[in-house]
Amino acid sequence: MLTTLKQSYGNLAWVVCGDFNAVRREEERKWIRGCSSHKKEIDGFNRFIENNNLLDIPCVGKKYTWYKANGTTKSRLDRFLVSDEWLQIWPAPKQYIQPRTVSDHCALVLKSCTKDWGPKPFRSLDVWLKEPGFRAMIKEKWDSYEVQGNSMSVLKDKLKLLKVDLKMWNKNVFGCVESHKRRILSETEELDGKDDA
Amino acid sequence: MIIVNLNIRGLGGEVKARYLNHIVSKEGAEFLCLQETKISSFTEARCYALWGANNIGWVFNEGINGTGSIVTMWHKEAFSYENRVAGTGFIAVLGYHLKEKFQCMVVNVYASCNFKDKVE
Repeated sequence: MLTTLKQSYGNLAWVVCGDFNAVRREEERKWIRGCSSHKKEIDGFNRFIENNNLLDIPCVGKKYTWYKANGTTKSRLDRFLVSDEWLQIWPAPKQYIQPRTVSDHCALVLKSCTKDWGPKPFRSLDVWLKEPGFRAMIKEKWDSYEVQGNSMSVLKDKLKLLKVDLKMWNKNVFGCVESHKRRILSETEELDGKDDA
Repeated sequence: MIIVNLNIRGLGGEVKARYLNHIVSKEGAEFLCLQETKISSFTEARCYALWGANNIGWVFNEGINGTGSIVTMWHKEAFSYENRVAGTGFIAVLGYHLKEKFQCMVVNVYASCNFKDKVE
């Protein structure tokens, strides 16, 4: 019935979530006394996902979502599946498996990582290293910072200060490389145009 | 879109409602999909108590013979409900995501342990 529904609303953004009571791979289910998984169940579930053009989402946190009370079995029975159209609107989704609390299943949270990219990395340009005086400038700046605290926080704060100085230095020495490039390109275009005429 | 999903194994007791309140507000959930609620009817009061807010819409599917009851809830500021289809072991809710301005289908599934049912 779901498959029929999916066919008639195929162009919509779909998300299918819940307790499927099935796993996609052998390693998603674990028995203490090694019985083997039902191959039929795994194949059937994968066929369901494939026939409906759904996609599995990367998982963050634990590996399993359900734990049998006596501890003999654990499986990943719960998950989120999405359609291609869904990914166009909410790219790079992840499902976060929460700690197990009020049920023998864990809660799952579906989120797209479009908003929060986490801490920004410290970036540098290779071309800086070729610039005469770069090393001396770094040493001079680095030694001039007076920061208190334990060595880890001193390192962190000094890097922060260096980032500000590097930004300034980059602007003074190189200016805005992109706008430079655009200006030169448009000048070249103009000259080429004159030549062609 | 942010969705919280849980097979809750019965809605009895205050602890479960407290946990749902907590996780919904912590994650900023727009949808909450629950399986195995083990109740035969769903009321406005219960819906608001579980979410911890009163601007909430829902669709309930009571399942068969008291097992497999599921509920899908959403925040009305995030989602504008248009239609639904409920069948054995699922609820499909069709509507409009207000922030992204996009029509979407949110399906809540509870599959029984017998896989033959699931494929059909």
